[in-house]
Amino acid sequence: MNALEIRNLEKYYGRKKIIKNVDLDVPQGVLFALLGPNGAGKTTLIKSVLNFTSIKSGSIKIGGMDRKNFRGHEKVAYFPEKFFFFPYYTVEGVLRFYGSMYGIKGGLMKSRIDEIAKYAGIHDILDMKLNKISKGQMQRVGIGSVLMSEADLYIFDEPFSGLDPIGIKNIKDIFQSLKKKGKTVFINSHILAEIEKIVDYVAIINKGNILYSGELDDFVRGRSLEDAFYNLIEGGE
Amino acid sequence: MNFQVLKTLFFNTFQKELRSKALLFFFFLSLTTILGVNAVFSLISSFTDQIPTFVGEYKLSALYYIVSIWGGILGIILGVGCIKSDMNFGVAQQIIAFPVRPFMYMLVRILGTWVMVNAYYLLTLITALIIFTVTDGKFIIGLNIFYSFCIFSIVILISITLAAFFSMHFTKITSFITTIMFYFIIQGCNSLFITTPTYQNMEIASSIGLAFHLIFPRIGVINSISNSLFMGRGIQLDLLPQIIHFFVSYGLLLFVLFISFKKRDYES
Repeated sequence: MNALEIRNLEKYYGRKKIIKNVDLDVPQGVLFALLGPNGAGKTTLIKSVLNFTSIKSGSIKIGGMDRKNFRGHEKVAYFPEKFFFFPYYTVEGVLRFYGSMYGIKGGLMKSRIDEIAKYAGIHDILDMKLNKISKGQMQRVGIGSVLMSEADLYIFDEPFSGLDPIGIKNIKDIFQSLKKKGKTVFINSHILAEIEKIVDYVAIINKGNILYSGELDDFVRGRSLEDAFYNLIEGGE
Repeated sequence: MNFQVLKTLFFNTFQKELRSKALLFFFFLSLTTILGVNAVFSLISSFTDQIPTFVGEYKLSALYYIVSIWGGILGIILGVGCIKSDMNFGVAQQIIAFPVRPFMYMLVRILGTWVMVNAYYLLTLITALIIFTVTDGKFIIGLNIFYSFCIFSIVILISITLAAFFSMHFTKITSFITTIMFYFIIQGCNSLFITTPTYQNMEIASSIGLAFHLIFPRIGVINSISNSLFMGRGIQLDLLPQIIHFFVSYGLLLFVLFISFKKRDYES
């Protein structure tokens, strides 16, 4: 069974067709990247997957369950492009909230928070309120919050945004360790150089159409991801 | 539905609203008004020893209106923010990504806010009754006041839901003003049509008024029941049709709110 399965997806904003008959399979246990220029429909596709927005037609299944089935959401954890939470919460409070929402019971909560805080590099700011931390720290808190879940599919929307090189290295390590645990990581990012180093599968979307979907190596065929991407989008390869 | 998820969201609603300065502000505002009204009535009764019963009744009535008005306004203020602030903070879509039904999320936010406002309302009411009991030397706290509180809490629930609905479409201030306008329009229409049994030969304005009376939960009717209970008077209405109307119209209001909420894509 695929971690994510999309069939004949169509989405309109007003009379404008944003997503056009998209079919997409994301296999289980892989690092997958959705790539596309600005306005290609990447964010709309993610919003559709997570049931944030209505769709005109088609079906979306997360771990075999329809996106509207809230039980399907137990299998998915989502990291938004801009992670926000109520500014008066402490970092630990956010992790605790996310842990509770993901069903972690009281007894296990503390050890899970400690584990994730170390993992995401936020153990030294656990007592700080969100309105006192930097943008990069906020990004790490967001990543830590998502990791509180034991989901099968992790969706990261622009995870490298606002991170310094150390942060980018950390998050790439996190992705690799999630993969080792058999989890599926779905990344939406513009930073092709970073994506190229880590993912196994890619899908290229432009103007609401999926132009390519499959293994990274088959797509780049010895070129850099940037060149392959540019040729497909601009050169109509 | 996972009970732990709902509990977490419910307490998160508390945390959110407890931080609202409006709660503290309204409590002190209510306390000041109650003390002021108490002082004025004490002054009046010192000049009118021959009609103390009238003064006492007016005083009790004034107490009811003060506590209810401030409770209603607080309900509208918190109702406007209960879902809207999640959208403004960018948190709504993160919450919808959790294993929780969007409708349940919306309902828990509304019910959490309702419990908060009720707690405020009860606290203000008890404080006011204690002040009046101490200054008048008469014990006026009874079961009727508890029943009245329970009935008025329905008005608070309707106000919160109406405010949350308007907040899906307008800015916070516009939503606040629109909810207050609707509150008084519905109340006016209820008092007009609950006592007018024939609906023949109506003009456009009356037809619109009747539509308000039929479609929206009857704030005016519920308010008058609560007032009657508070003052220890009997209820002159046939309650069963009113109860049925409340459940149908409130269900409709919740449904329309949910549709508006879903259409917003959970973002500001």
